[in-house]
Amino acid sequence: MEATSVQPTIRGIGREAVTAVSEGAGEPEWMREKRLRAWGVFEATPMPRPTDEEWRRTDIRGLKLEAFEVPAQPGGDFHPETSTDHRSGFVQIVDGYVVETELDEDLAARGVVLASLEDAASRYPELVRKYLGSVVPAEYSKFAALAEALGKGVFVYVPKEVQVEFPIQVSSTMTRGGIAVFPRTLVVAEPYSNVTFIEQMYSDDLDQESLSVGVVEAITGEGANVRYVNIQEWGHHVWHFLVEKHQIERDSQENSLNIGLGGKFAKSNVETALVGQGASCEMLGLYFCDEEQRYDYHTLQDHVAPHCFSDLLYKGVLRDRARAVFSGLIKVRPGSQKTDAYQTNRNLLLSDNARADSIPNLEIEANDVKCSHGASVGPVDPDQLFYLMARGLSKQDATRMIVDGFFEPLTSRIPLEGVREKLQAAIDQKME
Amino acid sequence: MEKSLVIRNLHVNVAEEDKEILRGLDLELERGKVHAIMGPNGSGKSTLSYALAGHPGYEVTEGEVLFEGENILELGPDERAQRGIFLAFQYPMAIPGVSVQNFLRTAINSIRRARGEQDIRVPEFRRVLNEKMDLLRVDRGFASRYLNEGFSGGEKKRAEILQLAMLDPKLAILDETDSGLDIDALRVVSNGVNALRSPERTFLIITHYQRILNYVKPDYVHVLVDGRIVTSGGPELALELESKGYDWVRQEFAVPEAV
Repeated sequence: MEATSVQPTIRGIGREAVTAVSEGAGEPEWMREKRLRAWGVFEATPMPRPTDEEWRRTDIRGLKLEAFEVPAQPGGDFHPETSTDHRSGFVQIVDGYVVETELDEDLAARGVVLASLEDAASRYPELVRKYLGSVVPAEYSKFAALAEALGKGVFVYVPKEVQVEFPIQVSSTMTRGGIAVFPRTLVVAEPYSNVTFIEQMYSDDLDQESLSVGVVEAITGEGANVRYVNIQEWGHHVWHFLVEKHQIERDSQENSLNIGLGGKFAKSNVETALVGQGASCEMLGLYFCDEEQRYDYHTLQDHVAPHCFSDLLYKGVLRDRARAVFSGLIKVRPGSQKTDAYQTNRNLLLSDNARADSIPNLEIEANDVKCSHGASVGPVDPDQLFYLMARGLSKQDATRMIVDGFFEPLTSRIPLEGVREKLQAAIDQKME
Repeated sequence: MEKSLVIRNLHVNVAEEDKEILRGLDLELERGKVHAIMGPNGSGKSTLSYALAGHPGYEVTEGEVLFEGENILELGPDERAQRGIFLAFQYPMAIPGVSVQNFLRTAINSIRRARGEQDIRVPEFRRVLNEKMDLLRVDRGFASRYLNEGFSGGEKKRAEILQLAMLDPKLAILDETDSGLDIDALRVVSNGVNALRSPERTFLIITHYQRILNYVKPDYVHVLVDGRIVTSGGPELALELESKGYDWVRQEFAVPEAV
């Protein structure tokens, strides 16, 4: 394995780490250039300030990037993802390193690629060069630049007209506190192909803070169908940053589901750009914040082409002193006539000290469109609670049932039963 | 005569409005019998049903309620349900995302666990559920639908009676279950109630109209006016009320007009 060729020295986030990551992976020269260029962008971009519009409600002054170590090798002691679900492929990532890759042989024979991004850069340079950073360039944000500079991750490629029958699952874990990982995912679905991709991040709760800065780029070709699920279950010690952006072409269909349960802090930018006419997407989100967790979602439905449809539904439950911000934008570019776009954010507060802010936005530059947005923040309906208690359920069981029902339209969309059950267990645990 | 429920001098305020709605209500329910309470709008019918079920918005300021000999006023709504009190709501709440069957099984198990019994086994639950759905002429697909969500008025009321059948309470309070039902739905609901009559189960049917009592024959009829039971009698009292109207009751029993 490439990782073992690197001397396990401790190094912080810096230019040296960028070079070391690239050398350790034995990457081609162009990939290293790309990383170093991104590092330059990272250095040239100031940290977000509370005065920046996007960061007005979320304070990250407590984040000290210099405190984290970039792991030189994966920790040996991790909980592997175990599953009895039918999967077409599986990748295990530990401390940022791909340690296991499995792909159905038939699919491999038909040209499907499932590989670490570092391997793919050597083996499929023309594909990786073409697509990596094409949807989320380093200039997107300081964190996107950081992820491009130090990122390691997964490349999925589905050739034209290939149908991937069962989901491909990627499980990523961290074994230690004090480290930083930069998960990078690139999904390319060529025209008329079909794939379901589930990405999970999980770890125990540890004392020392850790950092995850990730970028997901997913390209859905003409007439293709992609389902993408991202589940974040880091321990409560992790700062989590994610830019997840989908680009969907003509007549394609894309469904994304972003689930947030873990972390100390989570900032997620989830975007879909509908760039070909007749494209259609569903963007779903579920979050459950407890204790002192801080979540900040920025979503964008970017209608670049006419006759497209987008429907966004994000639902959150908050308890204890948790806080969430949802800020969603529907953007309809000039000429994107006959756009059909909907955005809904609902928040359920289980304690008086929890807080959610919901900020819907529309920016419409076409005149023949249908757009709507709705937002709500409120406690559990006391009449619903009484109704269930009048049937013998304790207050806690009644609340749990209302929460389960609130999330049901989202949890029912998770395509692997085993993953769905574990998620339900995680939600149940948060209700304790 | 064995008493299922004894209410003495019950005074209840609606907490939000700080207004006394029940003003010294006395009532005794005989076990295994069907009691009907009739009363005009605003007489306190729904307040009585909510107060008996333990709704936190209804504050009992005086009096006592003994269910099977136990004072239940200090118990939460869940504990009352666990002891065998069931309220069929006038306006059942929709619980989105929760299927009728999931809800029913959770409710049954909550009651069983409170009594120290084992959870119901899934095959047994299915069998009983199918049996009760057939009894109430409810389509089997009903079980997978979200509770009360998008239900018609008639479906909601049938769902309430289905819950009654599944939870097997000792005391079933029906709060205006007949309101808003067309004649077919009323017949189905009434047949369901009749099929669930037993010497172990007491019914308290609260209604504005005499209509449902044509289908569910009461053993006793009580008249509620301005927060008190002003008279009680047999089934004939319902007919008399229907023909003479509530003004007759006010005059006959010298109840002052509500302020």
